[in-house]
Amino acid sequence: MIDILMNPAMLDILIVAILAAVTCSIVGVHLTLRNRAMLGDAIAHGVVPGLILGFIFTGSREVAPMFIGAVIAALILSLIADWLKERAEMDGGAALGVVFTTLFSGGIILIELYTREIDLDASCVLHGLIEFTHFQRMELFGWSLPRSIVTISIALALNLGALLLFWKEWKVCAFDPSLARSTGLPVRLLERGLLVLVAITAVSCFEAVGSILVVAMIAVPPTIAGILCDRFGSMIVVSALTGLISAVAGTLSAVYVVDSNVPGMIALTSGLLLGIAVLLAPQRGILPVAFRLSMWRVRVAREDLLADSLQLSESDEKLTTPNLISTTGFAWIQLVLVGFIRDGKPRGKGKRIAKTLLRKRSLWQRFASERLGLPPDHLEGPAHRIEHHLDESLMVMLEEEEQTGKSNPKTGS
Amino acid sequence: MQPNTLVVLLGTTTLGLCCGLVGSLLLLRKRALLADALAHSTLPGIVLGFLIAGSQSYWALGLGALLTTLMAALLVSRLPILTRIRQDSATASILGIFFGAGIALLSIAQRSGPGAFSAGLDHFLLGQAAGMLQSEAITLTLSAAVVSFIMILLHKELLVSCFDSSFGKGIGMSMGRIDLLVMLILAVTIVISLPAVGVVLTAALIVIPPATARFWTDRFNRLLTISGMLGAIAGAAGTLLSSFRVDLPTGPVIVICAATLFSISLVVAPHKGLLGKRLRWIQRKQRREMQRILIFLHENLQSGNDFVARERILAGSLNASSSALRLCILYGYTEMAGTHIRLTTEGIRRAERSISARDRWIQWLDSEAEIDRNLIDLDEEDIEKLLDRKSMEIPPVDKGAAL
Repeated sequence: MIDILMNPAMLDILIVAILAAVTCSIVGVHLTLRNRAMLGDAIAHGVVPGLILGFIFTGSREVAPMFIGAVIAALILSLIADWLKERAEMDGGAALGVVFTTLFSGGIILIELYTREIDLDASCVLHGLIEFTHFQRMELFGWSLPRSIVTISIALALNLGALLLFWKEWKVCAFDPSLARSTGLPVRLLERGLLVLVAITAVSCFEAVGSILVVAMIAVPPTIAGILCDRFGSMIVVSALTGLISAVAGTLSAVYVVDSNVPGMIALTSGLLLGIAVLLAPQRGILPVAFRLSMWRVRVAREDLLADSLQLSESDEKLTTPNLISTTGFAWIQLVLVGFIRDGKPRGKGKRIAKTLLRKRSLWQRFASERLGLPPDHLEGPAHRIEHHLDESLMVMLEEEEQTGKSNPKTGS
Repeated sequence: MQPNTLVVLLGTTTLGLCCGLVGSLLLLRKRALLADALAHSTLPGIVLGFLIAGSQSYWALGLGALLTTLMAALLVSRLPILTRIRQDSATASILGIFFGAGIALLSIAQRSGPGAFSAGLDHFLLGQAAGMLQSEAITLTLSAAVVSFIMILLHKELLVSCFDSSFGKGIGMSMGRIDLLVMLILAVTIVISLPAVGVVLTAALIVIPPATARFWTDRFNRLLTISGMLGAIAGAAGTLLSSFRVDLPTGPVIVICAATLFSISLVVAPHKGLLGKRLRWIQRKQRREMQRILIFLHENLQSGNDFVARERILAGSLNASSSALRLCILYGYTEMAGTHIRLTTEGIRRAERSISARDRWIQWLDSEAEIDRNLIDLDEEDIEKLLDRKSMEIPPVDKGAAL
């Protein structure tokens, strides 16, 4: 870490990577919420003709005309795709696919026809020039700064400013467009504004860090945030943080561990984070969900064992030990260890749990047959399953329902 | 024409056919952009194939590409089921991650791999159709034949899987296996197209022809046929066009041809094209106007005015254009007498028919309270009539309550 801070070229690369990743992660949240994450990829390809036309018209390799051309191309791309979706009733993905591949092909033909002698090769657009960040400098207020740091900082500031300014509006547009329309918000204008923001962000990052990083950072961190968060605000924060972590870890590993391409490693790192989130996210991760599910199964098995043993003990019989290598067996072992079941009969607290469960079962069975009018001879199975889901408050409600139902039958609520 | 052009022509035509067929399945599943993601996810496989095999053999690279593509396809289809990820986000994420991994591997391979990895990124991205070998063209043709054969053999299962997979499950078809087969066909198609047209243009050939065919038909079999044909035409036309100039790259020209076909269909296709839709709309509007004119004239006839001034029809609240009036005369429903208009016997019959139909419609609306409003396509005239009558019936009650 120390030698990175000592090495100014390395530090510049790290700063640019962080800025670009955070900017794209923030703008990506909007797209992800609107189910349009592929727009990042489409823009990455669709801007090529804009870049080339900007270059051809001005004949210079200045940044400004190519930048403007690319932003215009990105806007045209998204507008045509939207138009095709609405007017020609096409599937949104297909519309986007048709437009960006066509624009890209047009751009390649333009390159071949007019700019053959100059090396504007595709890999340069893809990789970006992140390794040369330090050497392309510009003067600003008497300071000499790497150019890409300045441009991406402007994009980031623009993003944050617009986000704070239109926070509520964009939130409503993303989650409930019809509410937004009915409250009189200019939904169309807001969405178009968002497209402009996406275009500017993507294009300003392309030159500095390449399109792979943009495509990955627009898609992956917001997806991770979507798994972890339920609120717009926390999604933005988590997405930006994930972008930041990917950028730092990706850059460091690319330079010090595997000696590879920086944007590629950042994308790969974010993929790793996505994998971790999919597996381990506390609320929706695969493993926590599986764990909770199996815990639930064991609890159901425990309660069933207690209820069965209570019923058997009433007729002075004993519950036989179940197969120990199963969910029921695991539950049995737990019960025996804590002493809720002894000699196949419920004891102490176990007895109380079993009694409550049986009470719930009969309450539900009566409620379903009397108040819901379900056939009583079909209720055994459902009651057996639903008894585990009735908590105290529901039980009290059912008991009250039973009281009022007795005093005043056939009023079905 | 050079002899190699014929080989290339054969290859690109069958390639277009193959992509068009596979693409229709994706389009109907609303997964068109999956093609793009899978095409990008071949890169890590290609590089890994090279690193492991140590050579740039067609089979090593192809096998590697096939493996990572299938892995990406599996992830894209599984992730939205396993946890809360939307389809589009899953597609975009997998694209970014796999392509990024490919780029990272590529820069390692170019430096430390066995020998230099000369197949540059440009070739991978854009393809080299003009440099197609005879063996590649034959592979393409064979694959297209196999794909078409599978589609003909399984077209019923594919149809069900595209439109109603729960029905398919219900009648005992293995939908999971069909989906896997579609993914496999897609992956193979993408991998064999890569050397010729590259990543993005493969995606284009899979997305554009079916989207074009969709304008022409609503039927599954026709969609497949038209889409395959359009792909083949684009492939052939693009190859021929680019053979005229040395510096025109074949792949992009093929895509531009496909896009041209798309634009033409967008406008002229009778079924869903913009022009057809517009024409049908105008026709409907004109028929409405004619109907209003005839009813208006008929009402006048009932109150004793045989002749009505032309200005009264056009200036009145009828909202009718002079072209609709001309059409009335052309069809022989009305006749001109100086500046006045009169119904012919044919016109009277037509007006009576419209009136009785309209009255029946209003009666039906009136008697059936539980109608789905979205299903009714009403004229403003009908709505006014309907509401007027109701408001005339309601006031007495209201007045009584108010007094």
